[in-house]
Amino acid sequence: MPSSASADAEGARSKRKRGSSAACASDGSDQQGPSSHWLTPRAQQAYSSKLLQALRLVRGGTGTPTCSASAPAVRDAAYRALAVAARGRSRWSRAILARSRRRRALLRARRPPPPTPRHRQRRHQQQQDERPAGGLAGRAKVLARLVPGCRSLSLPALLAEVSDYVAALEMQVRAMGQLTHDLASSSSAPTTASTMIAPP
Amino acid sequence: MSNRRSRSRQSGSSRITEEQISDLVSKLQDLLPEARLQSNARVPSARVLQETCNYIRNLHQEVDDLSERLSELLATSDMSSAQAAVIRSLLM
Repeated sequence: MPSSASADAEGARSKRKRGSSAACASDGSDQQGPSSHWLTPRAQQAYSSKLLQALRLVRGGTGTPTCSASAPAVRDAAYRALAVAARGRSRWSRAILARSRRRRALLRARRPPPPTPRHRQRRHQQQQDERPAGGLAGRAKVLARLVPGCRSLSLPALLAEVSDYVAALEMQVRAMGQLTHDLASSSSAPTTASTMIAPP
Repeated sequence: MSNRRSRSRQSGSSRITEEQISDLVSKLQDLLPEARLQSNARVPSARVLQETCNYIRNLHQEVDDLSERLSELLATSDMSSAQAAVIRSLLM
C-alpha cells in the first residue's frame, strides 16, 4: 500500500512532464534528457533505495520469516522499482506499473495465493536470434515486443521509448550488481557490518 | 498517453518523419555498447534495431541472473545487512 501511494504521488507530480512531451518531440536537445537522467549516480542511488524497499515488501509479504524471496519475485520487484523510478514519464514504466496493479487486483479477488508468475519468466526467456523479413519494419516489430507497453507504437515513438528503456535497464543492472556485491561482502563479514551501522 | 497517440497520428510530411526516425536511430545507436567503439561509423537503421533487440535481451538476462543471485543472498542474510550494504553504497 505505501508503495502504491508513492507511485500515485509520483504520478501526480509528473503531470507537468507529460504535458511537455510534445516539446520534447520537437526539440532535439530535450531528447537527451530522459536517457541521460539514468546515467547520474543520484538516479542509481534513488533506484537502489526503491529496490531495497520493494525487496523488504517481498520478504514481508510471505508472512513466514524463514520463507525467502524467490528469484521471480525479486525480478518483479526490480522491474517495479525501475518503473517507479521512471515516475510514469514513459510508456514502458506505466505498462509495468499497470501490470503490477492488475496482478494485485487478482490477488485481492482470489482467496488462495496464486501460483508464481511463470508467464513473466516465459516472456523474458531467451529467444533464438530472429532474422525477420521486411528489414526495418520487421525488426521494429520484434523490438516493440521486447519493451513493455510498446507493441502498438509508431516507429518514432517506439524509438524514443526504446532509448529510455535501454538506459534504464543499464542503470538497473549497475545498481543490482552493486547491491549484490555489497550483500555478498556484508554477509561474509557480519561482525564488521553490525559494528559499522547502528540498528535503527 | 493520449498525447503520445495524438502525436504519432499527426500526418506531418514524410520528410520530417524520416528525419525524425534517422535522428532517433542515431541516438539509439549511441546507447549500444558495440556501436560506441565505432561512433563515427554509419550503420543502417535495420542493423541498429537488430543490435538493440539483442542488447535488450542481454540486459533482461542480466537482470534475471542478478535477481537469482539477490534471492540467494537474501535467503542467507537478514535485511539489516542489506540496509547496511545500501547505506555503504550511498556513502561511496
